[in-house]
Amino acid sequence: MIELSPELVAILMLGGVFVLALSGFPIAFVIGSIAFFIGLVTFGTTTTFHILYSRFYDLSLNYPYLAVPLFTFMGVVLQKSGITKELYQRLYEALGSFRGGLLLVTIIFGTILAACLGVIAASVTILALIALSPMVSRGYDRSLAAGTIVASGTLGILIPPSIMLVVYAPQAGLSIGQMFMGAVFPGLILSSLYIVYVVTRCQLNPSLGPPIPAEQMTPFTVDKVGKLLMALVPPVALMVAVLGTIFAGVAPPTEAAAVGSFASILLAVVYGKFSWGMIRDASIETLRVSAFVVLIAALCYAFVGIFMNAGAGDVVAEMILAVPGGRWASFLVIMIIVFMLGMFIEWIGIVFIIVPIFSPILAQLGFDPLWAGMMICINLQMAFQTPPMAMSIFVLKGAAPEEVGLTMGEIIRGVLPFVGIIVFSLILFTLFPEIITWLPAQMIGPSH
Amino acid sequence: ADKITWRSSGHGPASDPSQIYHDMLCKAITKASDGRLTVKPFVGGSIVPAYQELDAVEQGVLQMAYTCPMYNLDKWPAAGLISSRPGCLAGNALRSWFDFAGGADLMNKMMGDSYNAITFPGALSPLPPEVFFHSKVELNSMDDVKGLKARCMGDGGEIFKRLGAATVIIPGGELYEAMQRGTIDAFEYSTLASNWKMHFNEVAKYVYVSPARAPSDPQVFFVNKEAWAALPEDLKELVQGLVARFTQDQHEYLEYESIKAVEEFRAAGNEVRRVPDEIVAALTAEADTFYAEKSEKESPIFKEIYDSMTSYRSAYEAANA
Amino acid sequence: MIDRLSALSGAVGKWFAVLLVLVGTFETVSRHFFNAPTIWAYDSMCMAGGAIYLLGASYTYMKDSHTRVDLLYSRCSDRTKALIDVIGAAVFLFPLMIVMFQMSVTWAIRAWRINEVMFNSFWYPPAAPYRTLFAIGLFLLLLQAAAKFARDLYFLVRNETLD
Ligand code: NA
Ligand code: NA
Repeated sequence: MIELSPELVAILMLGGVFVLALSGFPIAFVIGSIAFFIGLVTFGTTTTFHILYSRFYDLSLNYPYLAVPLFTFMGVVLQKSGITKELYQRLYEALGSFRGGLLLVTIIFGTILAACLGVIAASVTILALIALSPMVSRGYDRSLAAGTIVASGTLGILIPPSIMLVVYAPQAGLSIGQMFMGAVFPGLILSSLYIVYVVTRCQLNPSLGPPIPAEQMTPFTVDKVGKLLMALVPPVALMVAVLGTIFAGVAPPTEAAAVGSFASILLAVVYGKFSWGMIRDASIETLRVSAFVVLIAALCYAFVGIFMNAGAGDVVAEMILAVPGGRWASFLVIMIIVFMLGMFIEWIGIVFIIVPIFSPILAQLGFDPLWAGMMICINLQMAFQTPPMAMSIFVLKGAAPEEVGLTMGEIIRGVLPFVGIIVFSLILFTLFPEIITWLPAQMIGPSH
Repeated sequence: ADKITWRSSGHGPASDPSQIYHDMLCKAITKASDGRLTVKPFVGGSIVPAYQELDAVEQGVLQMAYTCPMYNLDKWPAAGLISSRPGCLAGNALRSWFDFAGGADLMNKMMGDSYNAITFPGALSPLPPEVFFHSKVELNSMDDVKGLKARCMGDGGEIFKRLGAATVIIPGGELYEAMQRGTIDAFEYSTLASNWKMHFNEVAKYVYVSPARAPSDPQVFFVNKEAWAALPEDLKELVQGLVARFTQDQHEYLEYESIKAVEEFRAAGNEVRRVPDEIVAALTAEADTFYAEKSEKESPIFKEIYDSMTSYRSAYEAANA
Repeated sequence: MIDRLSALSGAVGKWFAVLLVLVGTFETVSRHFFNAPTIWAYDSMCMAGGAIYLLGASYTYMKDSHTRVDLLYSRCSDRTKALIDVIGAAVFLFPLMIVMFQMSVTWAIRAWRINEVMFNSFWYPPAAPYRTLFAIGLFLLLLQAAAKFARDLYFLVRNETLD
């Protein structure tokens, strides 16, 4: 065993992910192996093997992650039964000459999904399964379509319910309910900014989101409205089944996902689109998507164990405490560190690293803990979309239908402007902290 | 002399008092030993998954851990006895049983010679009684318990189920939302002080208190056998002394915090009530039956620990009547 | 032959997806409409999820669906790709996953020996079957990786595809 300084371990592990991910070998194994080799050198076999195996095994039994297979299942059933294809076709016709209309629809749909789902991969997967093909096949810009899906799918981790807020709040001693409330306006503002962005771009350059060709334009008829309504009913019914199950307290989100999957099968039956082949396809696709998503998550989770055991988390704390220039300088550094960590490791690791370190510092500097925690979570939400370690991008890449054939480069190019929008929104929430704090303050019962 | 480094983990989360006291202890040992023994504190879940700290101590990944015996039910059914279960010993009764009436020895016996971890007298911190239930509905008689959709974990869950409650299994992190949305009507969690910190006043009007359901949820320090054996005598004494002090300090601190929390819950508009005697009596009787049955079925150590605790409970009550 | 095993793993694994949907729906209906929550749904769903990921791992590997950061990879020739995959598997996959497999066997044996249970709920189901399934999943992944490794290597050396 060699005594590596925590600073060196931090650099080797984070830098290692950055460089070796580019090799193009499946990312899950790259991340796991970096932890494996650094662990072997620093701690020897017993400790390294135990940490990696116990965390890998533990995550495989994680309850909230069940939303991944369940929502994938639901997404595939909706896609294979043609229900969503029909919906996008009708919306496309209804939106007629409006440029970038389907992007707008995707963002709105993503925002609604975000209010139902709390695990990121689930909403990105659904959007990838149902929104990508309809846009690309109608000549929408591939990068813009991909970026829109990643950004609006990632809102799922911010807009409640959110697994991230559920993990963050108790670590920081905050109320889950208040954090949920605090996330509502930031989430909706982000969603609106995304809409402004895509619509503006498509207005300036119609080829990015072409309107329906003039020769396909049909006059607005009662028949057309009827068809739109018919196409809207199934997904809306499904949303009601899932959302209603969650909001009425019938079931927590994971079980609601099961109900949603079941309801989507029923829907296919009602619409005469059911076949056993569809169930087979849906379950095998569920297997494919959730295996790679959860394998990445599990090996990232294992990676964090080695990272923390090496004391690399403390390195981050020392950096903060060494910053000159007052509370806002420290705050800025904290945000930059969260962002940089987000570029490399999974959010759950970041929560473990930063909460014990940053919460007391932020409180000491006189920041409202709820506001500060929310800012960190919004920042982390951005981290899902920043390469090279970008879970949302990986999920879109893996779940995108084969015939679309998206490349990583196309996705990243599309995502970057959205990252810019999130940075902008963070400045906005700093200037107007009430956007975050107002709603939680309206809750019944005093906050403490 | 050689400088020694230990890694130690609480069971988290970071804001939990037992994690905070764990971290304070680690720093105190490092300071008092003048750096001869550096104990690095870790938050539960940061190195190995939360609640698997003892296995990590066994494997030598950690040298020390502070965790609930109950989290080791996967290996030893008897671990549930020295835990937050109906009929367990409360507060000082539990600590004095552990320190002087053979509790620590029985726990070591339960873990077995081949298991590479031990505990010692002074290592157990008895938490104040857990809240019986946070509830949206009034609990006046056993009729209110029947069909009550309540989140209960551990043996208490099984016992409540036998009493007719509709017990639901939900992870702690999802409780707040499940209550807010009405998935459940009531739940058990931790002590008054911890629950106040979890903001549960926002989701349930009634706070029912009684030591009957979980008289004490003890936290215990465990050390790796080899690491312990390798420690010079004076450091062993130093560690054991500081562990005993911090576990007692935490106990007293939480007693105090729980008393304060009652006022805080009330000021927040909650009603803090005693659990009606009828419910306490039914629960206690069912628990005794349950454990008596279980003692016959499980391995001999289970009965040994159960009998030791039960007879100590009677003796303690006789002395403190 | 190994492909068939992976396909079989997928074929078996996919039923756990259906199971997951059914158990989740059953629990919701049973609790909400009949006030009769089950004590087994929670753990069953977690285990079904685990079965999906583990049995899916080799199937997903066969389908080459484990996500790659392919900024550079996608621009490489087939031969370079095969080279990356051969080196990648030797460095990033086999050492780590062989160790994980060996650990999973050790802990599966321990689970059978000490009658380990899961304690998320008071159902306390035995952990050994799931620990065993976990080991099987990793074993199938290793087999599949070995098969792909052999093919890539053959292609690299002979510049023609095996089979
Ligand atoms: Na959400
Ligand atoms: Na990132």
